[in-house]
Amino acid sequence: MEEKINKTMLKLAQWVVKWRLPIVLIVLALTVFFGYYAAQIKVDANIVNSLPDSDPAAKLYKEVGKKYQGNTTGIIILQTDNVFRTDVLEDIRDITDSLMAMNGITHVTSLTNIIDIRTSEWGMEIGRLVDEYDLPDTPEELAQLRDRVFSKDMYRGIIVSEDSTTTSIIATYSPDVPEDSISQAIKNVVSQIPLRHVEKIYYAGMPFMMLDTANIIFNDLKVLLPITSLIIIIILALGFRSVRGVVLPLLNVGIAIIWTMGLMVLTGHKLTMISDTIPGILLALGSAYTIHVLNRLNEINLSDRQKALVQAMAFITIPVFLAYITTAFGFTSFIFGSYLTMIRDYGIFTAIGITFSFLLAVIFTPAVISLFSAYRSKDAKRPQETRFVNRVLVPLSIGVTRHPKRVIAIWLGLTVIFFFGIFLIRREVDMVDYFREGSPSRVAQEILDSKLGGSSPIYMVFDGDVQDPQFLKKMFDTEQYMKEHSPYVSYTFSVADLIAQMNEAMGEGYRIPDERAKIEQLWMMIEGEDVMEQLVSPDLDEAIIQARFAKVDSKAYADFVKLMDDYIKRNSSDKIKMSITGLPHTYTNMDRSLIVSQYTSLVIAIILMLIIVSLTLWSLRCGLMAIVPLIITIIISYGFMGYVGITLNVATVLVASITLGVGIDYSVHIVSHYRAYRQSGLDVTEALKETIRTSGNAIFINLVAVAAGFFIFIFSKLVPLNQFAILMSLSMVVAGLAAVTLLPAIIFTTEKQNPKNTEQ
Amino acid sequence: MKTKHLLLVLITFLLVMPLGAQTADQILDKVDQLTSAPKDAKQTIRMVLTDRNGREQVRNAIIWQKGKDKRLIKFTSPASYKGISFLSLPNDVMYVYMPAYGKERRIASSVRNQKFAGTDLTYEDLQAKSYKDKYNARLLKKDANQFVLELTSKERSQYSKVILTVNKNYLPVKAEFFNRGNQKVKELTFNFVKSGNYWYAKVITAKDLKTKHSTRMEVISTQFDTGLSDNIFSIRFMKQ
Repeated sequence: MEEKINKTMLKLAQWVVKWRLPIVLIVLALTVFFGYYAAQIKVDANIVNSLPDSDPAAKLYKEVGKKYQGNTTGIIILQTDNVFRTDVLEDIRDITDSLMAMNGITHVTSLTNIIDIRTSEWGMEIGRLVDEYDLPDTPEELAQLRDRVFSKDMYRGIIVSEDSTTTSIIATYSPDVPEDSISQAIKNVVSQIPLRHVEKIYYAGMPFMMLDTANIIFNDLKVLLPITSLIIIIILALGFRSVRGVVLPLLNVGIAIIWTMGLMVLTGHKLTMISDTIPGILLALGSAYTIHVLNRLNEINLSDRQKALVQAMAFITIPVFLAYITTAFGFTSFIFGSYLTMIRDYGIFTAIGITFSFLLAVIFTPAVISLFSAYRSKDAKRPQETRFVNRVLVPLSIGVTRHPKRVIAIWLGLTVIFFFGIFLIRREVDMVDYFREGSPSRVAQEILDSKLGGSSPIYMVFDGDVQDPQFLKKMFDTEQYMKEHSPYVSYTFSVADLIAQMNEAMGEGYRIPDERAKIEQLWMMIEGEDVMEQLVSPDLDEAIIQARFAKVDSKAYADFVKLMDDYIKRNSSDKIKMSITGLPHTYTNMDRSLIVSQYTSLVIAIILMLIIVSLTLWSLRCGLMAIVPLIITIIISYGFMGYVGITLNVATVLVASITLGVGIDYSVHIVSHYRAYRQSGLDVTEALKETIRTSGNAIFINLVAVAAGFFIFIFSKLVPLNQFAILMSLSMVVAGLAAVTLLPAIIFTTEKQNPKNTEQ
Repeated sequence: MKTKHLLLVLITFLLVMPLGAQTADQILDKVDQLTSAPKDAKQTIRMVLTDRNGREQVRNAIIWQKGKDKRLIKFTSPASYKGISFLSLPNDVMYVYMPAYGKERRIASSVRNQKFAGTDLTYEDLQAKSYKDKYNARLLKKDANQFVLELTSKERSQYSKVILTVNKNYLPVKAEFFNRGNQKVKELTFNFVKSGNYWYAKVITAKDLKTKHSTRMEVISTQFDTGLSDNIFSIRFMKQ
């Protein structure tokens, strides 16, 4: 069978050389085609879009957000020494008016235009909290406004902070205009308004956070990708000392990146906060395949270079394929069991990207080499044993073969130490924590949480007959329940509040009237008010409570979820059906699913690796041996996570499977080289020493390149990517070390126990 | 030579300027004369509200109007709104009466910018004030068939300007409302017909360009100069 495969490979190599020109032209044409689309790639930083529809809370969150325009509200926070000053009110009014005049904004709510239902001795007033045409300008009027704001739960600590220093302006976006462009336009417009007394402006809410994230993602690509390229160039230049050795791998990777990005655009996908690492990862992983091909070509001493190329290709295609397929499967493991669609898509497109890299390395590279006669001259010296080999790998190989038990003991010790760290791992799913401390987005959310009643939206949906007194009473009571039982909910708002206020204005107290007729008639007074669209469905068969949650930690989220889920169980009926969603619910589900995702993808990856490696090496024992160093690597990396406080998040959840997919190559390298040396007649010790020396060198060059590719994301402004960078780099180094020390030690001990070997 | 020219230009300018201004005001005067000619009126109206998804709601009401500043609107349908009345009296005094409560309540003046009963007309739009009293006018365009006037409010208003199109018979055809960002936010179209001696807007369509909500207000029947008693414009009558 091996014979047959070799023949096929030889034929393939000859075919490539024969059709070199069409191959190069087709690749170029495809690159132009995909490049056209790749240039249009957009960023979708919104984690909510990544929530799966299979989760009812997530689905409801998306639906409610769309229906009542809640998910697309930008919050502009104004800070000054005292909000209750005429000049500050003028500032607020100017910003409010300017926002209202913008395209893409449907409603604006601020201190100067918020709805206010008042009761006075002579009647009722459904109007505005302040008259924007006649702003309060005497100390008495300002004091009156202050008293009014602080006397109502709806305003106090919500629209103006309790210390009077902070106020918010809430803008609701139109669904017809792209969010990011509205957010950017708001920032532009506000920055041009000459402010009288407002000192600081912050932008909060999902749309602004998304804009910030999108900018960071683009910036990462613009800045970090060239740096990664440069590092890879340096590594390649040092390794090959030839132009070809730098150009060909980079060319391949560049093409693979363009194709992948083009395909993403063509299939309607956008870059997310994790898929923006794809180009960097392709650079690091994809270049390796071309390197293998070039290395092999260099090693063949034939004066007919075209023949040498065919020979090299016939030999190297299968090993490169194996390296590729394990890595691809590592990424494929994300397709199964990932909760967030962005993780699934990440798995799919990275796998596709490295498939492109592989195909280019074994088809495009030889075609280019033969087309441009870019062979290395036949008298090129075989690479000398480098200093690294002599100073590090040779002593290492002697040490490992002399004290295999000690090596195993050290690794076991490390494993035990780090194993306990795993239990310390914290999980983090909240978007806010993806920003570094002190970054404007994070500060803005913190102000909302601490001064303006919270930043995390909650929506409670009531289905039934909205104008039924029982229905509104239930809503009214539920709001009180939320505020009384959760210390983190201080703001709730619904149509029931408005009805109660008007009932009070009609002289019958702050409560829902008992007669339906009264509700219906009060309704007429607020019908058509902008705010109604955000509270009730047009058919009056559904209404929502909008509330906000002041976040402290994920435990608080989980407690709130339990509180409200229990409440709904007790109170929901066929007549008044309740459901709840919001960030506390979606984050809690995400948190739970993160662990499930982690286990599922890890288990799938391990099983896939075991199958592939066992098949490749045609031995389950070898397969198991090859996988041990990686499992230990993963334990060490995760233990490290726990000890240093790196959280399990959307990015770090990827580390285990990627480590497996990439690291398994090192093991395969070691095992197959060892077997080759054994077949050539060396005894166990000598074969292992040779293996460590030759494979060790290749493994270290590869891991330096790969680790560098990952490590660069330490400069990203997104915290999960920083942590991903640290962990991935660490994992690669540990995986490499384990492959050249632990694996040979295991092989040594098991082989020595085999009586067949001890005789030699 | 040069000064002569300049003088000529200046004189022409001085002559034309007030003439232009006068013309715009004259047009507005004529509009006011035509549209608010009857001493009193009683009309039954039908309002059709259409939201952005094409959902319709129908409301019927009777309007009594006397002079420029007395008006009573009483809803007759739908059943839930039956009997709800709004009474406007001179000096921005406004009352609402809700039969379910059996009580009237005074409504504050600052609600003028607010939409009236779910329609796209604000309390301000419904005011019976004449154009001349409310606006300063400037003639923008004039041709054989129509005049286009730019109106700016004399009082504080939510609109920066209103572009009023008037046909050659001095009847309003269209009013376009601009917010302070100079965006067109609302459009009213009028369809005037003559009944006896008077012109009245048989159909008014109001379109909110931001919410894409619209209202069509149609006069079903109308009686002019029947000598409405002042008693009609009272809280007592509202409650009947």
